[in-house]
Amino acid sequence: MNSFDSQKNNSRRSFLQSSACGFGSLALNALIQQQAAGRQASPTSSPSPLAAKQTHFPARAKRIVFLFMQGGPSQIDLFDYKPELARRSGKVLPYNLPEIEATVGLENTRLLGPTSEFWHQGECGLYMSNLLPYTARHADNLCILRGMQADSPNHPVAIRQLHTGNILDVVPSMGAWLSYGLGTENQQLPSYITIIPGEGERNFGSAFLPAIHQGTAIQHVGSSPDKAPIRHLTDSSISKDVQRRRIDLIQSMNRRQLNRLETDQQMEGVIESFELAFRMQTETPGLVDLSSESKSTLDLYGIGDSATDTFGRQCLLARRFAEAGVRFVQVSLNGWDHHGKIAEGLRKECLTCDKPVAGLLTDLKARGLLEDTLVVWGGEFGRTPHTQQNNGASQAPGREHNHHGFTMWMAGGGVKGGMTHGSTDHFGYHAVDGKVHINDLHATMLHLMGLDHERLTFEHHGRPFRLTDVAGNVVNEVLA
Amino acid sequence: MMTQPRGDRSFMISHRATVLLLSVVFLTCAATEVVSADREDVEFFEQQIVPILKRRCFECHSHESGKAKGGLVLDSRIGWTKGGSEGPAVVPGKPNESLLIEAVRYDGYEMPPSKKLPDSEISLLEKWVAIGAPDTRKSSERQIDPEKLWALQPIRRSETPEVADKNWPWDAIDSFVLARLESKGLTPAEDADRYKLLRRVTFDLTGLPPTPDEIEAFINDRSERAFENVVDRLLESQAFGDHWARHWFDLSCYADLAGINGGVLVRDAWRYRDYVIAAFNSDKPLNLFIHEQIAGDQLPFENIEQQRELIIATGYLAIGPWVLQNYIKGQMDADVVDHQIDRIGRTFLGQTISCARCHDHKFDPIPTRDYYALAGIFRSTLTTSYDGPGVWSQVTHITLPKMEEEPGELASRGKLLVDLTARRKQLEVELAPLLLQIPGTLDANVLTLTAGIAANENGKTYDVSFESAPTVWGRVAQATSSSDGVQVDLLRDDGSVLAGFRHQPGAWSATKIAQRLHAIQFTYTGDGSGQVRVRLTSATPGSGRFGGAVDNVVIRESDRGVFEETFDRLLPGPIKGQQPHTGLSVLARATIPEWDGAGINHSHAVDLGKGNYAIQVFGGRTRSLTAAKPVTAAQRQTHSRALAIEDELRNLTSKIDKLAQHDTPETALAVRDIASPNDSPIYKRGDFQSRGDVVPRGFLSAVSVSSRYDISAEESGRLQLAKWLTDSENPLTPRILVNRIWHHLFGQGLVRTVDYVGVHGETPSHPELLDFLALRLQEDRWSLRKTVRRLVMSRTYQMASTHSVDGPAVDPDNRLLWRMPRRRLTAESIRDAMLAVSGELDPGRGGSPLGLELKDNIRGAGGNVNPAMWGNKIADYIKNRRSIYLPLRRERPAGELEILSTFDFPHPSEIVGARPETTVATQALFLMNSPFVKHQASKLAERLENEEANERARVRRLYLLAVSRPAELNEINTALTFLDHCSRDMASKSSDKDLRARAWTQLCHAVLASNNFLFRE
Repeated sequence: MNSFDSQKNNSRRSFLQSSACGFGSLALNALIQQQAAGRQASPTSSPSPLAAKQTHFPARAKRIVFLFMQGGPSQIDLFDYKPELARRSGKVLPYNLPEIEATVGLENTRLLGPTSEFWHQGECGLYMSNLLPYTARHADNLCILRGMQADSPNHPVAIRQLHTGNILDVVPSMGAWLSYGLGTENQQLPSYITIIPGEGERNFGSAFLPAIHQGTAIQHVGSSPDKAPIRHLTDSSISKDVQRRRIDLIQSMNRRQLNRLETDQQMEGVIESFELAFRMQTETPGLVDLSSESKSTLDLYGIGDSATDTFGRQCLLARRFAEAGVRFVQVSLNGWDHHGKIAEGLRKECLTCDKPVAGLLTDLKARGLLEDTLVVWGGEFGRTPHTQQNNGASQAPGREHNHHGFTMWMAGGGVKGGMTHGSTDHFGYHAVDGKVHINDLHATMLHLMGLDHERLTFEHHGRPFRLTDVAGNVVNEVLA
Repeated sequence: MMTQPRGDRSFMISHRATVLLLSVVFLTCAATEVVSADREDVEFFEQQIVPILKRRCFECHSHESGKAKGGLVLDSRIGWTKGGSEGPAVVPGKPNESLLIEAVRYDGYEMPPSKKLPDSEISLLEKWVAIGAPDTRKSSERQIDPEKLWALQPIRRSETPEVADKNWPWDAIDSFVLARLESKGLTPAEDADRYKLLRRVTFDLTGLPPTPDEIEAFINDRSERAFENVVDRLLESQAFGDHWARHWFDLSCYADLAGINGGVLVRDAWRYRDYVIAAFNSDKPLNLFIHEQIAGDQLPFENIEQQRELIIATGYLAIGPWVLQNYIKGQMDADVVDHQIDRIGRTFLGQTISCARCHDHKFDPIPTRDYYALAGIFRSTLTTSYDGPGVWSQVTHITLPKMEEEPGELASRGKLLVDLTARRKQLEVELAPLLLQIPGTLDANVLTLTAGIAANENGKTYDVSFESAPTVWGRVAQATSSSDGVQVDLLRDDGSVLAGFRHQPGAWSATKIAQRLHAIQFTYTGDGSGQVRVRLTSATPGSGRFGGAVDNVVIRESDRGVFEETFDRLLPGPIKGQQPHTGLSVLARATIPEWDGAGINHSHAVDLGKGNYAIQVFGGRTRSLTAAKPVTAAQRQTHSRALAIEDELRNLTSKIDKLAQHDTPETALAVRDIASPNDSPIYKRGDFQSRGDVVPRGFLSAVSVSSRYDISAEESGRLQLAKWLTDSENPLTPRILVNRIWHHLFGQGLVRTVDYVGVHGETPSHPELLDFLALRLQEDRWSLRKTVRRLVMSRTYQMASTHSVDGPAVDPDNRLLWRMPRRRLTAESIRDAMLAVSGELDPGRGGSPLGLELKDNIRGAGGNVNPAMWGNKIADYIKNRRSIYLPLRRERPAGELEILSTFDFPHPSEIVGARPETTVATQALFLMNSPFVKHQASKLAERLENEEANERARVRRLYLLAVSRPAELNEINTALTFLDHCSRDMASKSSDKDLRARAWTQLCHAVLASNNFLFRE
């Protein structure tokens, strides 16, 4: 258990210490107590919408940590070495570029061999880039999916598909589906947390699923007290006393009205929500307070080093949430969109990414959590084997988006480690074998969590919806 | 199943196709054929074949498993005769033509996908097909009789029911409601008090609270017609349209911007918004409203104003949401059509027609043929188009006919434009040399010839020529605008301009043609004031934009050349980039002998090959004029003059732009028919690449009306569709519409599933009442205003919302209406009401909400490589308007509009007839801590201070304003005590003098955050 700030003489301290995680859980409790009121009647006996639910079959993983690498990491330079591509680097393209993919900066495009050195890692001998030396130490835990496919080479479209399975409609994100399907293991916490999600709330929204299943966004992970981790958490312009007085007045007005009306479920809900909101605002700052973590843990994630500090905090926070029983934790790292100077850009991005991700794996393993935590790493698509030079021939080349074939990896709960599944053509352009479409990835993730993607449905507008729509096959080959 | 190869699968997005339940299947195919077979064959089938099918195929192709992958089930004869998406699975007697056999042979298809069957089983299956595929099994599917679906029945006229309490009903509505209550032993609640009633009806009709004056007037009006007068006043107010248009937009996916990230510029969406508001405010009959939105372009008009309105109305179909950057255009077109069908199906018919995109509807009587009959109509309608390059499609814009204007108006505007343009030219000519005299403002790319040329003899005419082209050095995003270009000046010795010429070739956006060099020529007459020097600058100095390339500057006198510069002797710097469409290299820091200003920062040269160069002029300055550091008095004087000129130029430019805009044709987001309308093929399993039978255009076969609406070959059929929707025999549209109106006034519909009335939808709580209202709607000439008026004038609407003992026990959901439901205000009402109460609400209405005249509010040059984006700035003159007039991005409202999404405002891409009403802690946080609520609270406190001197009176006014009733005595006392405590709390920690005012802000804040304010009873 993490120790709560011992300096704080807080009346709720004992409660906090007895809860499964010793940080700000009461505050998050507020979030999970959100209730969908209104038309959903007869609430008295219905269990919390986040109560843990039965799986369809025994689960191999209890939770997912999704490391979202926004922008499209280059599979060719990291995980999918192509000797033929290396040999023909600088040569004209041996394949036709569809007109629609002949975008800006591809006027004089050439093949571009891997821009980093590759080496064999782990007992499995995984051949991967030396830009990820820390991650490489976990090679025997990684299940590399080299045949990933998505439907669009356009960032927002592909990002939406990765998160929701759908490129068109307003549908729930995968975290919301998991929350809906499984509830949470720990009633003190929301079931779906996304740490610094960036833009696009649809990517962590609940759409037509009850609002309680939407991702709770943690907006800041730094130690600065001025920045609230959750939006509108505090009002720095007035003192705590005045705030309390104001709430007391609101609540007394609300109660007086309620007494007059005798009963109103929705108004009661509002009264409750204010009380919880006030507790959140006093307790939540402890959420992101990593001061109770040991020096060695902080070092493990690279916290304190400028290159890795923020992302390291995100990853450490992810471990804390995973440990506390959050079903789906997402950590996002933007910056993989290397249209130019990929050799340089990728090096930098890997530096940011590598140690925190490896630290997370190490930490999960050390705590015995990796076996039932599924870690998924990857972006919305990968990159082309050929160059792109948006800023003219003098600039070092980058690569364009490629959704035809790219790499993601999984580790932990229920997947085989030290294996690769699927492959791309000789140049790393199109997946040719062991193709895993985003819908298949989702089907597999649900499967590992004990859910049949065809049975996890929600009735909306008169018909059942599901995360994988009408597609998706579980990738049996990767199941441990 | 007959799986498609993975590569094809991406085209089968078929996003609405998820249907797993086969337990209730509507069968449209013919009755099971009678099969006679030898007993021996039957035995073979039952003993040898059935076990194979069960073991190997049923997992994915049977009712037992609930799966019909590829649309195929193999548990009945009809299952395989009908087959899946590829047609019949078995051709009796012909194994080699049977897909099933092909598949198990792994010949094309590979079934079962996990592992090929043993040869012995394959031969058994082959034998079975060869002997004629005997199969005695009956289908387990059962038919649903469309006659039993209530919504499809004709609308019936019922007698007003008899009731025991004859005094209670004021209207037939009340009799219908009371009859049901009495049948359950319930009694209606007492009448609401006047304060609550006024607040209720004012919010329901206008989305705003009543003002203190309105409250006073109503309370004091003891006449019979008091409430009726209020209702009529509200129905006739502009606010009615402002509020009810928003209900419409919840169904029609309105947004002011486009794109998945929600910020792509759409300049004309607001015209459709204003059309809808005006339609509600003029009480346009709803059937006409439907006709205009679906087929306005095909309706007759009497004048230009009406013609414009009819074009704008079709914005309903054009507004989106479209994934304009979808890379597979065939898919995108199919998705656009699908959304249009889906929207019309749900909005008017309460049907999920989109389910039939991939297969016959699984519950409701909508065969795939019906879907494609409708799809033909929308495929024949131009909504978006794509003309490359880049991935972005464009939404159709139609030029609006020009409003007629007084002849004098046009002329005077023309004259003004000429005058202003001349003045601008004059100022620009004056400014350019000034810039050169102020240190620190030197344009980084002014090239001036160092030596003079003898080309200025008095009265002699000279001829200057050069070659120019707009250009960029690298990225396509750096396209030029129409104001970009080059400026060539001839300077006298003293630096003043003898003659100048500006070349602005027009906007260049990624077309190769504009890349060509143009030969430009102009003449000037010398004044004999000495030698001249040539100066090259951008036409937009200081703009940070490229003006263009200049090559071969030549000055001639008659036929005698006096000067020539080819720039071929320049010393090129490093390669900076490449022009994307010419492929020419651009070189940085070029140094050109005999020219000043060369080699600094941005002097670029274009390598034309073979030692031939042109130079590029750039409109950048080293720093802005305001940051310049004049040293001498003369410089200071020049500097202040230059600043003044710049100011005036900015002003002039905005005036000129406005005038010019007046003359550019206006466009609307709208649709039109394509050149040759045609029927649509069925897309098998929704895959646009897999085409089946062509279906003639038409409507839903389950809704038949006696009138015929034939669609001729020359038209899309939208007009016929619109007329069919509102045909007096179409039972769905009027029912759905009155149910929606009921929903907005009573908080829930008579059918609560307002967007869906199919098999899995709800049945009405008061079917006779629903039909009564649907008939009245038509008899009232589809008048929204009359319908709303009828509903709110009923005694049912005017019941109190109080609790009762029996009600909750018998009818916990209040479906029978034993009281008026209480409701939280809608998101936009919460915002608008806070502004109204604080006195900040801006009554401004209409027009573009995007504030495109604001600096940087249009980002990017536009085009379909990188379409222009909106800069996210909300103009001050829009900021405090009602929510409906604020710019809506096509995403969850955020930033200044965050309040909307916090309180369940729908995503603009969703069709939401009934918004969810959630109560979550984030709402409480917003009410407590958001800058918006804090600001309104402080404005409200200021307002109160100005309006009432006495604190008790002030509290009373606060209550009247915010919660539409007088404060009770204990509320006044509580408030005053709060003020005392609060200022005392602050006194100990603050030095602020006006503690009392700050305490008042806190009090106002608390009232605005309380349920008294947030709810209407």
